[in-house]
Amino acid sequence: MIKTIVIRLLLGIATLFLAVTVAFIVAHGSGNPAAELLGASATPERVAQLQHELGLDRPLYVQYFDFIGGLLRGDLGTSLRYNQPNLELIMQRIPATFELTAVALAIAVVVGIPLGTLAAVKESTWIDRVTSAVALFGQSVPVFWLGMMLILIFAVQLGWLPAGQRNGPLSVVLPAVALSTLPMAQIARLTRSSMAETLGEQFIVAGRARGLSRASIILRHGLRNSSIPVLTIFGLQIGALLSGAVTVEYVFAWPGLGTLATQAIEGRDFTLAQAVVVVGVFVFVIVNLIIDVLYAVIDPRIRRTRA
Amino acid sequence: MTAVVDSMPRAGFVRGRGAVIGFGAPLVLLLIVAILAPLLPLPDPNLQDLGASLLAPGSPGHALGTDQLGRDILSRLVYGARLSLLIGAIGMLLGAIIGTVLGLLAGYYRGIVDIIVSWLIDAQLAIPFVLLAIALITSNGRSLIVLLLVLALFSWAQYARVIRGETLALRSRPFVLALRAGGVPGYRILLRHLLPNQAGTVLVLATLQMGAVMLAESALSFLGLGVVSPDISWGAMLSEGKDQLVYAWWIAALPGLAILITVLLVNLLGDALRSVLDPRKRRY
Amino acid sequence: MSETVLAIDELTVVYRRGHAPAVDGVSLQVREHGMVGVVGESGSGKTSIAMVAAGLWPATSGTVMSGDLRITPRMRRNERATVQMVFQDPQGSLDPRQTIGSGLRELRRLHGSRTSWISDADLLDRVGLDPVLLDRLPHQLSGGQAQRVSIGRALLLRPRLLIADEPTSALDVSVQAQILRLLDEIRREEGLGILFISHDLAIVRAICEEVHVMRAGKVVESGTAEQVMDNPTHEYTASLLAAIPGRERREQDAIGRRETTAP
Repeated sequence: MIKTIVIRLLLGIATLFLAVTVAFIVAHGSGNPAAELLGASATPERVAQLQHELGLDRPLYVQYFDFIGGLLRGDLGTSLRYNQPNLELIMQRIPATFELTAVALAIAVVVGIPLGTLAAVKESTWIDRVTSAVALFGQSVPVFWLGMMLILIFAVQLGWLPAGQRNGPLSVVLPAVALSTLPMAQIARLTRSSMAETLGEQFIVAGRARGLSRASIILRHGLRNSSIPVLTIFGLQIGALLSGAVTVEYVFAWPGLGTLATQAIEGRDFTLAQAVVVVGVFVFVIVNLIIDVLYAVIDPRIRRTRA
Repeated sequence: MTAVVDSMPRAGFVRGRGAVIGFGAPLVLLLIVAILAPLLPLPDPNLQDLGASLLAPGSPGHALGTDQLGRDILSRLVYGARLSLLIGAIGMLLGAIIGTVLGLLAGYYRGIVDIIVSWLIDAQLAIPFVLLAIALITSNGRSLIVLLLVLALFSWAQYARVIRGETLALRSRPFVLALRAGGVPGYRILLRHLLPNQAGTVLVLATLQMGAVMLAESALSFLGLGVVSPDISWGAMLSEGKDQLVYAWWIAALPGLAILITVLLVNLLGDALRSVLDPRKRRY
Repeated sequence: MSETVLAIDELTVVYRRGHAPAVDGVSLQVREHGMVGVVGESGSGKTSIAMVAAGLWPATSGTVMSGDLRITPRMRRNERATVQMVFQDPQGSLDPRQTIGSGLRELRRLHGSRTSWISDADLLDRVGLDPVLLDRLPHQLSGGQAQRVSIGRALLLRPRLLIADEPTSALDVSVQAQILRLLDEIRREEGLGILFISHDLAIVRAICEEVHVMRAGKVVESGTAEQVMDNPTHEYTASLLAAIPGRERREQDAIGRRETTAP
């Protein structure tokens, strides 16, 4: 087991390495960030001057080593717009984004798993169809638009919930609900299909024959076996979740990483943009590593379902 | 906003050839309307009429209302369909080509090629695409090329993963061995034998990815990273509607509804295609 | 003195380092017009020998030659034509999306003049099929027909050596005999040598001149079919023979007859 964890760790680091390299190439190494920053009206001399100031005229590999060295020291560069260390700016915003995504994931799990379970147990009934419809909706709707519609209905028309900003516990409800739709849809579908598969297995039937109640079978065996594919999906969803968070935060003026990223767009702040990508990738790799470790822990004790 | 392709059997109404036509027909209709837009009796979508701004739907002369600059919403919706569909299609195609080729190569030749491609896939999935788009656009500026590149990068990994798996499974089947024994070169086996046998898979994936790419484009345009004035796409309309949300809900509600319905139809079409092409429910 | 179309010398095949070899120091030969059988249970290494002999898998050590040609996965196309293979799964051996005729055309395009000695129609006729099948897809053929097509495809390239890996195991008993007859016919008439892999001793006995019995990667017994079947020297061979259904009954019948006829 230690061996698998170490291998996973190394793979994770390799992926992290590759992904931040891509981030570097995209932000630093491609195009002309200095020219973008100054806008179309800048003179070539001014652009060259800025390039020199930012160290962009050095050979690419020199910049790259600088970048990696900085990363290892925890230095993500300085924001061009705010003139503060990027890491500081990001750390200020992380709690808000974490709160949003955590609540969204919680909603997705709390609603998605029971929904998927019900749909599997009552296969082909109206519950199943409703679940299918909900899942389909979740995968077809623009998340930020849903957020706007929720604002219209629940904040403007009904006045039940706040329309944005981060003040008070209720303010997280609408954005989190919007953000939760896609992961909920995927979790519901996956739970349903893996639960349906498990319920049809021989050992379930054998359990029934021995008089175990249906509910306890579902709870004990079904959920345990479905947890592996759901866990897999969890890991893969982080990327999509972060992407969704950017647009949702923008809609709800939620002071998190997402709004920071959109501000980077406006200011053509490529160092900040690069730093945010690095952090995003980092979060993804860490979460997946944790999940991989969880696999190693859960796995020997239960039968492996096809994930 | 990735579309995870899954193999859950659907409720009965999305199966079979009837469903393919049922969901495909409205999409074709939409496509025709979009293509024929200039020939339709619609006002110029970019024509500003500040005296007629923020009219609600149902107002005389503007069936779906106007936005803050007095531009007709219905017209903008129809013209917006063109870019939304076109960019969705091209982005999907680019991703499909890159992903399928890499998946085939990785699955057939294995070895170092497979290691590199698998690594790339993992790294790709690890980068949240909106953040990647932000980084790309802050340094390269905004253009159609960059947008299409981002969208292609967003979707290729899904194809590569699935095609690689299927190619791996197929390559040890007797008919591939027989072809190798017969002296058929690798590239020919890939192109003329393995790819055609996966055409159904690619088609289903492409359809489902079309929806995902459209959603991605709308998100990027919403943030100002994609389509911008004077070009019109549904996502760009949404960013215009955001600030008017409280007083002129229709400016944001309608384009979003258009996206929802279109992507819904596309996803349903994809599921229907899958049920027709894979009667034995293949697992991804 | 006929030519040797297959000479395997001390062949060893290892799939995973540190694990037991799938094939361990096996040597055998096949001559022109010859039919040599390799028998064993699954896991005995017989399929691995087939794959290496057909140039579809590399040998870990040892040599595999056909006359002067060294058989490896890196053979050139015209060299490949001299060694052909027929597989166990008749339908699986053909591209499901390609008509029979189209498959033959593809081979002709690749090998040129080597394949001009016979027309498609005559080729199908030669393996006992109606030329109308040229426009059919594999799933429209029966198992026996598909297997004949595979044999025909192999024949088209005028090989010196044909590897037959369990060619009849997936077929009905009635069809098996036909395919075996066909294989016997072509080896006699076309002059090629056949390496026949099987788990079924009864079949091997019926058509092979020489037999090698394999177990866990090694050849445990070799000889003519009669020698190996009637006087097995190795206990493993004996146990395989005993497992043939019907044989027990025949033995008991024989024993019973002796008892009743004894004075």
